[in-house]
Amino acid sequence: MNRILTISSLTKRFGSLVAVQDFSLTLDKGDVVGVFGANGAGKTTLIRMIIGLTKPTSGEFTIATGCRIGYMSQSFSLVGTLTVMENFEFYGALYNLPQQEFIDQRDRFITHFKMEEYLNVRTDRLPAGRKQLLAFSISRLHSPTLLLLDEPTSGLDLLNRKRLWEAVREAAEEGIAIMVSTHYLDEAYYCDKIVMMERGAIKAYGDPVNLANKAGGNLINLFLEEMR
Amino acid sequence: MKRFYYIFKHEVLAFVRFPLMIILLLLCPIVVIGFIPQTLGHSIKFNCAIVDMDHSSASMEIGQKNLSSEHCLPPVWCKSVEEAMHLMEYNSVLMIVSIPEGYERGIALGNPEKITLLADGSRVIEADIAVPKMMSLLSDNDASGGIINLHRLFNSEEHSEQYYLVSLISMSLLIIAMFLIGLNIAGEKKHNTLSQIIVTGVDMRLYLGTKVLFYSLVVILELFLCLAMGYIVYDMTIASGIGQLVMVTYILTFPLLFLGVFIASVARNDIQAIYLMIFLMIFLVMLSSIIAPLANMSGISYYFCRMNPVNWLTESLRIVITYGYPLRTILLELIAGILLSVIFFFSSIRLLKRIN
Amino acid sequence: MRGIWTVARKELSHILRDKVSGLILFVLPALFFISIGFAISVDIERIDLAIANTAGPKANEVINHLCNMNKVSKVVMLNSPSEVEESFARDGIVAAIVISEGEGGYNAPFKFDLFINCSFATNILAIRNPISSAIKNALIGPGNDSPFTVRYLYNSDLNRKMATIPGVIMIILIVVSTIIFSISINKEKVHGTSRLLSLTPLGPMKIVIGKLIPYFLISLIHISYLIFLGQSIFGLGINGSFLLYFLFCALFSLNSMMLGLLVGSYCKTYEAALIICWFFIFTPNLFLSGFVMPVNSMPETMQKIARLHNGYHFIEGYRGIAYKGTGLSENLPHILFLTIQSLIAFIIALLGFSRRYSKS
Repeated sequence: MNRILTISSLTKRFGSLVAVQDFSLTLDKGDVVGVFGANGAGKTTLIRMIIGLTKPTSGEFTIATGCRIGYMSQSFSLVGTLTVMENFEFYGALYNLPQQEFIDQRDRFITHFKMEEYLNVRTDRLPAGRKQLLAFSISRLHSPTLLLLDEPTSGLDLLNRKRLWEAVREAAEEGIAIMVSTHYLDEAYYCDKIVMMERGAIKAYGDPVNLANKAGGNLINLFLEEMR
Repeated sequence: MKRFYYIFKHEVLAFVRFPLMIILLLLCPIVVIGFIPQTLGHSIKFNCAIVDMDHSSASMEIGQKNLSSEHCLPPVWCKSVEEAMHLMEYNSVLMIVSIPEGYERGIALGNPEKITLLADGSRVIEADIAVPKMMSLLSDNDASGGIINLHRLFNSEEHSEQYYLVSLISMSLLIIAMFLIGLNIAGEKKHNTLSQIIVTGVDMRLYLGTKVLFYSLVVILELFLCLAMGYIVYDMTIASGIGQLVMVTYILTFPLLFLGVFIASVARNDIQAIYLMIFLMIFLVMLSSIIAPLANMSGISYYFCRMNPVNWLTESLRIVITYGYPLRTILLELIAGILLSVIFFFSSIRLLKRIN
Repeated sequence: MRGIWTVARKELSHILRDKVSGLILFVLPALFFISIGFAISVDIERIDLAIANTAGPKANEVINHLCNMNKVSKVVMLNSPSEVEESFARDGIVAAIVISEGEGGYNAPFKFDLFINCSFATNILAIRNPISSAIKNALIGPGNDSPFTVRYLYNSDLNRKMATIPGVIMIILIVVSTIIFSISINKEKVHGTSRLLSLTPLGPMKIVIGKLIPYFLISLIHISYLIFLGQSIFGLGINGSFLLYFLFCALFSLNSMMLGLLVGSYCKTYEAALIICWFFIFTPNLFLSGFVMPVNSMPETMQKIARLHNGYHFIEGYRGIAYKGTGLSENLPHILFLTIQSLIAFIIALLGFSRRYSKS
């Protein structure tokens, strides 16, 4: 079964404020969908609803049976006083991974992201780029089929952003469906599909190249039109 | 089991690597137990002014009685009540003994003039204690004598600081229980670690329960530190067994721990959590039998005190440490403590997930 | 001036827009004042009494007098004197009286043994005296004439609330002015906004004054409504100059804020600020100010230490102005102490601010 996530008319209101309005989307295995929008467009609220941290006001979403969800928040959600290795162990235990599977996954990410020299460093002392990669590794520790990344590249330099997106693409190639929210329009071209949100609603949806062509050759025109 | 172990390990590591927690753990016994009881419940030596209008040997005798009494500081002799009042306004004297003219002659005639005792009512506690002592001193008569034999229980030698020690131990445990776990959870919410933990699918009952279990052990450690300080400084001993003491503390600290969790869950950010904890802690301390006994409370405060888990802890500690009575005398408090813990536990889980 | 007002306005909007913090700052102190004011009392409000009678029915009149005593809320009849000790734990009594056969004769028909729970070093006389009076009334009529008259000056009814109200006000002002203000100061450092402020042309002194103003205004509001509550609920007026009283409370509030400023400017986190304020300012003031126990009852060394605390000077000055009606001259030592302590704390805090801002 390829369909991982189906969202139908999802809405979330906070009093009179409509954070997400009539949002519909589907996500298949291996898809990378980028969710773009200005601050307050509803990206984080959308992700929080899918994870289950916030209850929708109306609409529904379905996740494929047996699907495991991975999540990476804007603030990385690492335990600052624990070292890199201890964070792996802590979250590995919370995910209830069998020992061998945990060791394999952990070692794989440590090697892949070259974290060997940081293993005994407290995460609150790590540079931002390292925290980001650690948080990404932890979100993938339990081999999720759906990955939700909330502004994972916020505040990072170009090199670290590129590094993360390469990791995202690798994950997609393994068949993980990924939804990423971000501010950076240049990252749109890493995605298979993009969603432009404005005031909680979908403003534009589609292939980034096609959308850019429709917007006069540059996605930023679409974004600026949205801002106007 | 594995999850339990790693959650517990996470708490231990987070605790030992946050020096403030260790400082808090140590400050409580040192400041609250080692230092504060020195201030409490000693007997007052009061100071008084004597206005002698009689200038007789009888009035001199009154001065002598004051001088030789263990309760009095040497009196100040004033020429007039106005002069003595001036001293009272400057808080130099607590009482004024005014001996009228003709006092000695009156005694000889069998119809003594009345001595006037003026007490500073604005210093209520001191006046309350000192006036009867002064009256006893002046009349050479223990007012309780004659028909009543007075027995002072649990405090025969007036070593009062020892009897406040239990109250202060209870206060220390409250501070540790609420602050530590409250700040911990508020911090997890602030750094969004809690969202990540919820996403892992771990049972929040397991997660929260393990966390509270760890901090309950910290509270027991604190109990031992406080007992050690009490023993070293004041020779405090425990009337019942140590096992009973640990059990009672353990059960009755859980409502306080869960209260700390509850506050951190209710608060929207860590600053709010701190504010709420401060005010709640002051309420709980004041409206328990830590500062003033239950018998001193009137109206609704009395009933609040009876429902206050800090009061349960204080009274139970008193029964175990001071009186040495069997645990069945506090069965009601133990059951109430367990019930309250359960209520706060499930409420906190719901709030932490905050499905809205 | 504009810079100061800008900072002050920002602080005020912080406070007012966070509804929970606003509730805590404005409403809770009032609730606290009322509830704690009733709760903390040096008077014994309830005497829960146990009686064990081995003298037979002839003691019934005495027992009736004891049961009808003022403030007796519960009377537990014990089967034998051996139950006395257990009754203290089981029934929560404060006193037990055992009535047994006397030496004989008209003058001494009974023997009374009164057991009082002294585990608080309670005011034993407040328990013993009414019991003694009740027994005397039952046996031989009114008590002996004492050759003394006693008058309680400044508090002729010996209203016990006068003992607790200054302490409660002190606690409220310390919590708001010291602890909360200290956390607010520290928050700027933790959130990094202090760096932004350091780039403005304001300078540390103006920033500090700007931050101080809203909290000072809040404490003035507290002082005002606490006066009103004290008057209307507890019947405690102000015998001295109202202006002096208000200014004295305001001075104490400012003093508390300076101490909070000192702590907040040097601590790295607000948890640290909270712990230091709690253990080195709030708790010592609670016990050393004379609120819980008279300072004169403490050992000499502790008395000296107590006199170094701002709470002690506040309570002494409060009693003088509010109860005794004394003026500036009588309270000058307390006013001077609070002023000098405030200045010293302010200067040291400012040095910390200057250092921090120059490093930023």
